[in-house]
Amino acid sequence: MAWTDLAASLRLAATVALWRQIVGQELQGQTDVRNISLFTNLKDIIDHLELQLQTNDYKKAIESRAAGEFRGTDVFRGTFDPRHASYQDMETIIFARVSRDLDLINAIPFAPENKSVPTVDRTLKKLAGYMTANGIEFVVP
Amino acid sequence: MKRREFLSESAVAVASFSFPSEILGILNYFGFQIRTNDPTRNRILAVAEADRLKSNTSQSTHILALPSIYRISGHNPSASEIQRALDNAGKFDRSTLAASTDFFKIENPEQYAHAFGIAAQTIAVVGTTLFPGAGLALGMVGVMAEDVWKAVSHGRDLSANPFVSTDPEEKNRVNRYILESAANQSAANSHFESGLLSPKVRTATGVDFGASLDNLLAHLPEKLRGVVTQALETSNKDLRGNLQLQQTELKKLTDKFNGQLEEYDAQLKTFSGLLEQQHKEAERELIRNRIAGLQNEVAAGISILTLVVGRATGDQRMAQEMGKALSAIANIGFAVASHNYLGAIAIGLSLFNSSDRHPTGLVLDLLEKFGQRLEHLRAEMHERFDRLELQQQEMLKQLGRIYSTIREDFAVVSQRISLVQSNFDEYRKLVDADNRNQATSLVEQTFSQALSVRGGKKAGWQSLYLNTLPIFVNHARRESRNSYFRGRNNISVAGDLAKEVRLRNSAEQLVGIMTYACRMANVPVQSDLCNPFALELGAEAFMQADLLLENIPNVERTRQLKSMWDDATALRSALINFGSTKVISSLTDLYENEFLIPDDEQTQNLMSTFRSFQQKWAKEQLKPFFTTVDDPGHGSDLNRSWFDDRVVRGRAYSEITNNPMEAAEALGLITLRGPYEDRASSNGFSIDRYYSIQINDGPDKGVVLGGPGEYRGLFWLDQTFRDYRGRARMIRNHDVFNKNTERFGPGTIGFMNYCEKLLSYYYATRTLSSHSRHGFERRGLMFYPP
Repeated sequence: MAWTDLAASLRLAATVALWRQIVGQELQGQTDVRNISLFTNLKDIIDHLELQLQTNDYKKAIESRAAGEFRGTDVFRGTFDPRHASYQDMETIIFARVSRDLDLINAIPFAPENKSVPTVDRTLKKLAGYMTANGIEFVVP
Repeated sequence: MKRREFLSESAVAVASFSFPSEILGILNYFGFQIRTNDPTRNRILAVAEADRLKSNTSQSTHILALPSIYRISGHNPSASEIQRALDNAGKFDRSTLAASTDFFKIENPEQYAHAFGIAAQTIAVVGTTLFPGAGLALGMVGVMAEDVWKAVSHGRDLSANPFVSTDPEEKNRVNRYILESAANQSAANSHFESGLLSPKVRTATGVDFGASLDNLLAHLPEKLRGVVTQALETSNKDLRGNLQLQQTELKKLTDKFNGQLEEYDAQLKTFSGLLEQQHKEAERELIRNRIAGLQNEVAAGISILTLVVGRATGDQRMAQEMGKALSAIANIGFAVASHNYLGAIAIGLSLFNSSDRHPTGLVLDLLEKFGQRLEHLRAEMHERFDRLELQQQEMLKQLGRIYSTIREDFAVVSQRISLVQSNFDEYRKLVDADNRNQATSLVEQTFSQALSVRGGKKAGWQSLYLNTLPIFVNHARRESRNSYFRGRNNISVAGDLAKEVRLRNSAEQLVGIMTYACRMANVPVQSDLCNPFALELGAEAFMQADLLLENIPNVERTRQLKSMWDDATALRSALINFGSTKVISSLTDLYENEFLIPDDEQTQNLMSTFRSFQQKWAKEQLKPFFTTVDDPGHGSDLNRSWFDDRVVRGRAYSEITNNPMEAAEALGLITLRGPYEDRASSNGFSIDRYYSIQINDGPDKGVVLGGPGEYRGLFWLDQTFRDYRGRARMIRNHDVFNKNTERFGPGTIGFMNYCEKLLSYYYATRTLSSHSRHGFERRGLMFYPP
């Protein structure tokens, strides 16, 4: 088992959970896994670090520390510059990002009363209707 | 002669036109029972060819002798076998083939030409993947196959076909092999040596291979002789140990090589243009010969270069490695020029993956140039907003970057290569998915056709309908059920699941791996789930077809309907289970526990990723942003931030370095001019130093702030008097920025912010991925979208 597999599974599970709550007719290709943010591969990490590197909010960081020097390692204020990070800092930034992602996934409400995936239900209805009309017996689970 | 065999012969003949060893390797791979791994065989082949060329100059079918040599020598041929091959080779010609009874019994064979061409191109793509080195040769086969088939089907002699005609370049190539063979004869096995030195060969070829290398030069064609002589003369200057001289000589040769590549590119463009105009056949042939000639020249050049480098430096291994790398680069060039991008990428990947040693500086130079060529080419390509096209563009872009930034860091480069590799895999899978989508749309198409036939009810519609319907029903029964595309459902290697998710992106195409994901969370889910959308489509198609059949007997309908029902119910319960809180929370727990644990090598764990980043960044020797540096002569008891204009005046402070303005200056985004004037400050203890600033990038490119004679604009306050316990560099607050452009805020902070935006612009336009760029814009850090 790899961490990437786990992360990808989480992303997929969360997407499926969201999918089940869609109201109305959904179309093929609209259940994009990328809507759920979570580190799942090397490319994600590179993108994230790149973004972080370029979007450091210098001004806020400086203003928040009017005196003294600015090292740019404040992960939680979003002023983290990965180029200056130690190994431990890297762990911190990953942990911060992953926790945020997981919070997001956990925040997806579980609502059993919501209908399941409309496509499947629609298909089931059609099949059931057709088989009934043709006198074919079937088992409803 | 069996038809299949004949085709394989043709393939060999065509292949030998470009790079025989590689294409024969491929044919060997596909089971044509030709073993060519032993380089000695190529040498023998060359000797045999040369023999035929020289002894039968009137006969132009020498290429057809190739297979016979290989067929005879199922193992390492002995001297007698070589002789026998040489004796018999002449009898294996077109007439032998044509005499065979079942040779082409196809009616109107030309109708198969296109199919054969397509098949050859498909083999080219697949073969390039399996055997990247042969990318070019296979590409050539793919391009030529259709014409060759047509030529043969018209009863024309294959050797009369322009692709395999006996041209001077072909002879050059053979001669080159002879030269190499003779030069390396001591390294070859005794059988070969005895065969090579046999009186028979000597008589047939007129070449004494026992003689020294210099004597062999006389047998080279004039053009080639010049190059070799020049190279060998240079080597007499004792290049050994003189690295600089070696590099100079090599550079001469590689410059020529670059020029040839460019000419090749241009010729190929002309050729593609001429292909459209059928009537200019003679012109076409001319260009085609030139293209082939250029390829041979490049190959010959590399071969000679390798030989000379080996002799000059005395390091045969290094020379051969370099020769290999150069050949690979040349192949990339050819592949790109002939629009075989998959081939180019595959060759490029194999070049990097196989190099154990750091390539020499010369090869690095070539790669760098090549990267620029690739980038240029990509920019030239027409933008078609097609999914596959975009993917190709992305791969080309990445490959171009790898080549041009190869010097920066090998660790990072290898990471990027793995990215390209995975892109390449994705590309192939996307093609696969597209095929499935096509199958699905075929069902729809057939359905609507059947409907219109039935609705029209013209005379004889029943028979027409019955003709159409079986295909349709079969599709609905079998094909559409097969096209319940659920993505991959055989995950066995760690990391594959993640790769699949990243590849497919859409949840409905990932149901196949839901079983494996659920297994991690200890929740049982039925395996073999299907894509809900595809299932709906298939069920719909089946029911419609069933309705259309009316009274036509359909005994399997019940079973089909029930199995579709079962599929749907299984899918429903799986979707509910997989998206449940239970699964998500147990996966979350697992993730939090696991993500720092070192992984298997294949998937690269998080920390190893960072380690390589850190290695790269450490080499940049970055100072932290806004570092305060205390004046060592005086020390400092007061650290002030750089922007505090009020505090700076008349106080002790430290120098603040590595701010956005410095960064912008270092990157050449702004240029400081001056100082054009020094003025004592009002308190008499300091000197104010005036500069003007020129903006070199972004929307204000070309604007100059401040200038001589104007006490406005920017200036640096440079305090160096002993009375002050530190020194500072700062930008004074002047309103002039507001007058020039509204982009500047007032004073120091305003200009620092401006520099930040300049930097953002710089990074966004040059380094950011589109995803990152989006976030960038959203945060208002851009002037405008680049």
